[in-house]
Amino acid sequence: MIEANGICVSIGGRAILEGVDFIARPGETAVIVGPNGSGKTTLLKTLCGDYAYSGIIRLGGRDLKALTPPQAASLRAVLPQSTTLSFPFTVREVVALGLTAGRPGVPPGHYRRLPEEALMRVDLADFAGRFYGELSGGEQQRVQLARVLCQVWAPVLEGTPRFLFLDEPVSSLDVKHQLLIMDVARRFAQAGGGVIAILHDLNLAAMYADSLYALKNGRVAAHGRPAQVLTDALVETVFDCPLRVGVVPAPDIPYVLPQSRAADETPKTKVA
Amino acid sequence: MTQASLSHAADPAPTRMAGDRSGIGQTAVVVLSGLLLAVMVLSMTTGASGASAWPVIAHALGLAPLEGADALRDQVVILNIRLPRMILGTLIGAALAVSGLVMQGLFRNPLADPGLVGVSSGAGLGAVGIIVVGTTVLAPVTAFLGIYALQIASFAGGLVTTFILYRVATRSGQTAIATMLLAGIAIGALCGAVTGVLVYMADDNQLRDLTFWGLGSLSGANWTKVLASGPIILAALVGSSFLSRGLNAMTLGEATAAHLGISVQPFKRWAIVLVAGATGASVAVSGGIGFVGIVVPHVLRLVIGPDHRYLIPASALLGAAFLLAADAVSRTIVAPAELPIGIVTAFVGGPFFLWILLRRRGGLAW
Repeated sequence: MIEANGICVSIGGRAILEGVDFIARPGETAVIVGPNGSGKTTLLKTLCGDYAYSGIIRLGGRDLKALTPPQAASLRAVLPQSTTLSFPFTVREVVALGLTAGRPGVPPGHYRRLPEEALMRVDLADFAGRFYGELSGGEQQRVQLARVLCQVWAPVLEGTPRFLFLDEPVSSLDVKHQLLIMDVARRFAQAGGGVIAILHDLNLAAMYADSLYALKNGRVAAHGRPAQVLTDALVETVFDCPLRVGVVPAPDIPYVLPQSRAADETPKTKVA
Repeated sequence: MTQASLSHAADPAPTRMAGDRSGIGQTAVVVLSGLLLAVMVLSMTTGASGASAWPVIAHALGLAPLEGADALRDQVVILNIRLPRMILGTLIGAALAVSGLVMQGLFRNPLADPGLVGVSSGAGLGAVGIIVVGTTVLAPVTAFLGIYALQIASFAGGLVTTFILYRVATRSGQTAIATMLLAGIAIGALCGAVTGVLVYMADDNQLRDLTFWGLGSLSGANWTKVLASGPIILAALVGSSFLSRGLNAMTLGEATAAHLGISVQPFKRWAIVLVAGATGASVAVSGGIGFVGIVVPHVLRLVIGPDHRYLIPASALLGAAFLLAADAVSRTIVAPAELPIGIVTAFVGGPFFLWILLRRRGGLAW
């Protein structure tokens, strides 16, 4: 479990996070949503240990500040928003970098073909021999996800759940691969690991989140199950624009439709 | 998901997989080891004096006695001139190539080099200081350090420069690489200016020493220099071999390297000290020798890829072979005179580097 209490982060003298409480449980996908500048990425990076913070963060029951980088790396893997490589690695070589921290949880003799299996999971099975720099942005993002999967291949290591931290994992992907990647994350959680993801697409968030955190101005505006958080009043307040929430009859998943401000003059359509 | 999918049989005999260049890297290390051995033999058997190395080697191995005045003269030439020169050439070539490689990995920039971030300039300032004011202002230092004065001053110059650079570029425990590059250029310019003042103060003899030292040369190689610089360079090379995992991770950026389990700040500190040590000890012996630190890693990256597990040993081997070959040319092309080795490496390295850049202009700008 990842547990954060009263997290405050200031960067350059400006408060970015103010008293954030956050919990991510194994077996679940915790999704963070919020407008630009609300502190989503700062929260994720703080949970990674990238920023100095006040408050308490516990990863697997241990204080984050007491964990060495190799210890933390064995408990969680992080997919950043974007990654630029400075040298001409092949796709397979990039994915194999996920094994930098070692091979905990990988059966002996299996690690050599781990990159291929990870690439298969992100629908890039035939890309291993290509150069990373020649791929599209979306393909590069999937390669990075394969690398991250290699790092925490077994979702549970010696009884301790491991976590995937995903910062906008689907922002540059087409809809098919958005669903594919979120399904990869969900399966990781279903196998006993935990997932923390930042998403901009509220419908994807509604579909995949087990718990949803809505951030605004560095504070948690609401958290709970998607159906509790995604309400007309709350999403309009958090995102400061007209939004309407509907519900797909089965399996009871909310969806969110943006509303044009230019249509304000016409009567609003009630979404059932 | 994973336990189920991992349950099938483990990998059978390893096979080459698409995108896996580790086999090429391993082959390159073996081939380059052979190349270095061949160039070492060439270095021992060629020279302006015409001394023959084989009888001396046979004698050293107890296979044949050494007879005649010429044979004894050859023994002196081989053991006291060519052998220390070959050892220093090997060590310095390896040090220059590996220093360049580590800097490039650390700064995530294929054009980074100790010359670029001011480490060479700092080391050079230390050496020039000893050459020009070693008998006047710095006389007590020179007297205390004795024959090691040049090496130690150069090493200290490299370390002090690196330390200043590191302090300027580090805030709250984080070293900003871009700031470090810019600070390095500024410090390099400052060291260059002070060096310029010292050169201005130098007399004719000192100017001649400085000119030849500045162009780079192994001509003064002897056992004293081997003992003064060799252990530092050797330690730096051995230390560098432990950096491969971290340098690979650093290619993804510092934050991601940390997420992959690298203790980034201590790693950077060690890498910088090793580069300063290797560069300082090399510059003290041979002055500025350009292009080895950029060309060797660049060429190898094109052939075996950027995996530092293979790049570090391959760069050391090719750097050593390249410098020894350049030294063999510099000793024999205008014999009995000698061409400074920096001229040879620049003549070979400059056009070669331009050719690579032009050839790859349409492709990836690595």
